[in-house]
Amino acid sequence: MKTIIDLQRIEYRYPGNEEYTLKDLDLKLTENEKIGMIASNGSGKTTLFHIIMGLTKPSSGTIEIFGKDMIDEKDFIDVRKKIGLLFQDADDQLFCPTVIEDVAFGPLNQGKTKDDALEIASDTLSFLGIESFKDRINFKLSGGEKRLVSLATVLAMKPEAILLDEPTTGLDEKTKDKLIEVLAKLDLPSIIISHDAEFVNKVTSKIYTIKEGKVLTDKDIYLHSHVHAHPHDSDHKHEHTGTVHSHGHPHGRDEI
Amino acid sequence: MDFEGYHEGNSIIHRIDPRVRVLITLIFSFLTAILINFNALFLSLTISLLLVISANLNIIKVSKNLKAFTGFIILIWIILPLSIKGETLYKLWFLNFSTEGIELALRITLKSFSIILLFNALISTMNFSVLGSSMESLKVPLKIVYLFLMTFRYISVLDEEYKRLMQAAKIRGFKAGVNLHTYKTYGNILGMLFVNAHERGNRVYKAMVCRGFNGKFYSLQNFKISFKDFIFASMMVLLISAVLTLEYSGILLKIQKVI
Repeated sequence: MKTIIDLQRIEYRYPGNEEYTLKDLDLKLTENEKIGMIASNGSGKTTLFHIIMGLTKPSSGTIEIFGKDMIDEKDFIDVRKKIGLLFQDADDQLFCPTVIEDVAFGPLNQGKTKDDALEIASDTLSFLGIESFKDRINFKLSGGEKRLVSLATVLAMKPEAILLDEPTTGLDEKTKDKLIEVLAKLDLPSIIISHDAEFVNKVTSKIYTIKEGKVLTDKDIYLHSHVHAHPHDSDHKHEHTGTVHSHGHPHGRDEI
Repeated sequence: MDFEGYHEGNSIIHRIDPRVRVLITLIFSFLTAILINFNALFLSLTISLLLVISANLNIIKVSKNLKAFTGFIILIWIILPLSIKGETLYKLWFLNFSTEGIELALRITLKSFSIILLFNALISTMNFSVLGSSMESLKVPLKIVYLFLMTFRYISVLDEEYKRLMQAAKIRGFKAGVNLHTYKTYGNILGMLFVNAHERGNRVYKAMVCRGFNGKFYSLQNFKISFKDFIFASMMVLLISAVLTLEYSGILLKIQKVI
């Protein structure tokens, strides 16, 4: 199976900070793999994404993406075309006055003509079922709408893998369901960071966490296969993989 | 916050090429700003009003826009007649209202209303990204254009951040007053606003880099000059010449008098 992202012994600490945010971290994402990551605030998950995209330089460690060693900024320019990152705050991602301009921004940077970029942008909006947003003003969108448009800006670049940073923050149930549906339809290799264990369980096949600067895989964290049983949802099957009844939280850390 | 303007209309004005509108507005407002002759000023105000009417603007909204500005005008009418020295027109107790002061106040009033109405009619009738693109195609420095567009996008985000900080202060019992504590608190809030804006700036830049930004913005606007743009432009040029004629014939008359 093709490896998309391969991080080895990544270490990172904030300037002026004694303690390492990420320490001796290994992470691998292969084709057809969807990794969910549940970790507490301040565990360095956003930093981890920024390291993958080359926005933050790790103190040490090696980054291999699509089988290529990432050394300097030039290498990452190519990565950014192939991996889409959805930012935690949609207001960071949407900086154009109108929706269509924002969605077309990526394709234009990829060298598409104006007409092609507009077509890609319209198609992406239709794919997400939000083609009616086209001419709307970004700052007038609601939180959920902004999130969907941000996702559109990422998808318009036709990424081969996606990284989502807290995609469900501030979403109502309806938009969340839509997001789940879209992610299933997309079927791209992905890493999804979220507080929302139920959501992560629905859209990913593996659940990892970051603890003390390291990624712990599902084998390490010993998960109950269904995270959070819901009393109103009697159809859910409970497959107990172990005798210990545990939640999908990493243990021993503050609340998620 | 509302900066929507009237870009959703479909009047004759709305259909004129935005670049033509920006250019005419620029020329016309600079001209109006330097007019002295009252006939010329009244003509300029009339032209602006006619443009507002042909743009089919919501009169209530326009008058609201003007209302915000009227406060300044009132201030000018209070200060100028008293502070400008000249012939006394009216004496009230020890206050001298000078003719020159009143004339100046009237000029400023006519000029500013004329320019504001002009902007309402020609500029508010296009949305911000169109305005940005037409500025770009009129060779306005790119930095200014992007600064302008980013301001439009993020001013409401900043406003929200400010409100959040104010709320945080309020729920802890902060009440604005005339004292050092109030100034210090506002200072801190302003400081936090700057820090937040800086950090957001960094994140926005990162998001742009992720989408392949390499220092260049591409405009999505397709501008096409058509026949009606020519007609509009020539009409405006004629009107501007009429204003200029009034202005300069006034000056000529004055010079003749002096001679």
